[in-house]
Amino acid sequence: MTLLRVLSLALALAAAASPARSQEAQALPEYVVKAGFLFNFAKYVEWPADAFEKADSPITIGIVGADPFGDGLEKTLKNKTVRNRTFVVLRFPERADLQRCHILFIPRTERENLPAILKQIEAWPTLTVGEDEGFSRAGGTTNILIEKEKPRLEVNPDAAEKARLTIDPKLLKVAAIVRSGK
Amino acid sequence: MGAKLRLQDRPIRVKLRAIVLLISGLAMTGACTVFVAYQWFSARNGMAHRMEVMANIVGDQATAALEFDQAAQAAKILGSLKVEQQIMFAVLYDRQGRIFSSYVRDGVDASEIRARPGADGRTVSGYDIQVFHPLQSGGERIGTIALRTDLPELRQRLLFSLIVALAVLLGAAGAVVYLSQRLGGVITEPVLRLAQAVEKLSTERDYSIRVEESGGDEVGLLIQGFNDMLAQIQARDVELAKGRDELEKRVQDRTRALEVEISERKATEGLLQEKDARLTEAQEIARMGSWEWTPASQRVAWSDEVFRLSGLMPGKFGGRLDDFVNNAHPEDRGVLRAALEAAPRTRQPLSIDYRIIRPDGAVRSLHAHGKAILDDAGAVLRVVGTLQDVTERKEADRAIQDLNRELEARMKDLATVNKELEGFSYSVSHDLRAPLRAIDGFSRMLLEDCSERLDDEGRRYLQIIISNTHKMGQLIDDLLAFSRMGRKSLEATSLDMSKLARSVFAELRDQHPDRAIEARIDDLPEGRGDPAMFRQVFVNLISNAIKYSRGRNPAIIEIGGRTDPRETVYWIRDNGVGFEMDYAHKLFGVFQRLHTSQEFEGTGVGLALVQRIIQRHGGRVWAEAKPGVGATFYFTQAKEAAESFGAA
Repeated sequence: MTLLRVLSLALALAAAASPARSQEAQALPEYVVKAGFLFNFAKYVEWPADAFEKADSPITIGIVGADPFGDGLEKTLKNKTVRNRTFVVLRFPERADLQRCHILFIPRTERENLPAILKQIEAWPTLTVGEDEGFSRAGGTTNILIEKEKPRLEVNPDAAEKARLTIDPKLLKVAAIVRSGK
Repeated sequence: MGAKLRLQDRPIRVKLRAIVLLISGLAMTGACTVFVAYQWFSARNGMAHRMEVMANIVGDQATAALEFDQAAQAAKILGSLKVEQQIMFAVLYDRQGRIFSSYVRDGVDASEIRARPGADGRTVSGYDIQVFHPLQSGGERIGTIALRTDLPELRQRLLFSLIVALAVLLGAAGAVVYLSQRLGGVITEPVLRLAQAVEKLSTERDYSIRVEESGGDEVGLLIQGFNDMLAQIQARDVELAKGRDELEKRVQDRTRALEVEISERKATEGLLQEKDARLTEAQEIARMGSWEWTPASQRVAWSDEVFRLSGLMPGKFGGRLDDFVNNAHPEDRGVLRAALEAAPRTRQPLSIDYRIIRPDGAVRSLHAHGKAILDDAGAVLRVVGTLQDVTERKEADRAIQDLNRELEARMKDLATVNKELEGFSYSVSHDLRAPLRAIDGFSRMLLEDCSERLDDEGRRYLQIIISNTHKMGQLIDDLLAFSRMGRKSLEATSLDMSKLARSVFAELRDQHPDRAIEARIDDLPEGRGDPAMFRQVFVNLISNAIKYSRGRNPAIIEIGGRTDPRETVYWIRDNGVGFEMDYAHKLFGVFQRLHTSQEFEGTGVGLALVQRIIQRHGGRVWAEAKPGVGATFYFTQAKEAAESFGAA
């Protein structure tokens, strides 16, 4: 009984997108979790050498369209480094504004523009992170889904390969592998 | 316990095996203990290390699951630990230390899972190993993984180690027993042979057996020594047998000798008893008792006669030296004790007179004589002695002493009287000379000046007066000489008696030219004394011989001497008138004459003087005669006297 309770408590803690379940869940809203995940992805992904100018060039995280994080992302990434690289957040409210970046978060609000966006960044070594059903099958590299108040990951290794990214097998292990649909 | 044989009484083989077993057992047990302990600790350490490695691997695998909040994945990863049977549970704690995921082995109580992680590192206690390992990602800590094991493998390995150790121990013990039996034989075999030989020896008394020799080690030496000993015993047995025969013979001889000796001793004992009885008797007769004092025991034994002398009953005597001493007169006790106690010390004969007071009050004088009897080493065994009642002798001694004193006093008186007498006779003789000379002188004057007025008869009377005054003068001279003799001191020189005799004879011969006198003078032994006095002796004796041989033709005078052992004898012999031996004792008295002066002139002093001189020289004088045949006068000189009278 104790075990179950402890486990359910642990699960509850992990479930950031379930504000109704507990006080702590409210403290971890969906985009706080997702901001954390963005940071975590940086750890499990290796970019090709030409993706950075210098050894300590920052990792750039771009958000296309409407920003769902607010200042949450900056808060999460504040004082954080991965392999001695700091983080820089770039916002591209319009698809046309898109610039080269290492991680590009594509919110579900851009579902319509997704193929165009993917097309637009095709040649860049960019890790695309989505939050919409079918994102990975559509050609997105990683997808964060919330199912039953629990986060679920999808990874498209083909897309990663296309973007010349090396994804840590440990990440592959915790994520569902999704191939690009034809 | 009593029935159980102690190790001391067990055979050497058993002892050896026990010792080897004990030592090797101890060594093996020690080694095995170390081995097991080492196995245990190294296995546990290894296990702990493995747990850490495992935690590291699994934790690393689980970082992504933790970071991306994939609890199911995390559970799967942790679940992979199921293959490691010894792991009781594994827990994944998140960054905040909350339990994120866990794996619990079937049948394990999950309540042991800690709600928060402990300090990093491992905790090892007994079979329990708990590891808290930090989880890192991208250079930051993202959580902790905990592993806990109850190490059933370790248990098994320990058990296995123990079994191996036990097997080694048993194997070693078996090997030890086997080897000690095989190799121990090298030691025990000869010892056993020796022991069997000794047992056989002690039961059968067969000294001809020998133990097979084995090597040159201590046991070998022992066996050699044993064999040598047996050989010696055998040799000795032979000698003993020989000696026994000899001894037997000697015992028989000795027995025979002893029998003889015993019979002799019995005879001696009988004699001894007889002698003892005689001694008692003799003591009784001699009134002499005997005593014996043993200084070591302070005991004094008295013979019966001593009790009689003391007037004591035998029971009244204590038998100690003090009793002996206290029996004496109180005034004599000191000297008696001193004399008795000095005897064993000085070892000189003891001789002492002392007094006792008898119970009846009579004081008796006793003479004790004794001496110390020594043993072979010269130590004093006892002091033995005699005790004699000398009261009468003492009294006699005292009487003799009184007499002697009286005699001495009288002698002194006599000497005084004698001296007075001598002085008197001298002065008388001397004083008599004066009137005599007057008579002689006036008679001569009368004869010469008034001769014509006297007739023949008158002249003859005057001649008689003159002749008698001469005689009287001669008499006075002789008396003076005689009295002088008492006072005169002696001169002692050696005397040539022959020469003296010859010169005196020649002198006297000349006074009688008309007579035929033949002298035969031998070589006389040498004498010693006053020369003038001995001249006087010869003068008197030779003149006597000439005088009394008047009328013989020729008169023969022999002078001789001989040396006896004790004295030298001289003699003067004549062939004169001689005398009757009945009167011989009167010869040497003063004024004693055997002939009238009408027959032979003389004063009767000459021989008295001779006697006086000879006696003063320590000799004797005597005469032998036969009337009509002659007389011989002898005088002697005692040898000692001749040598020593000079000092008298």
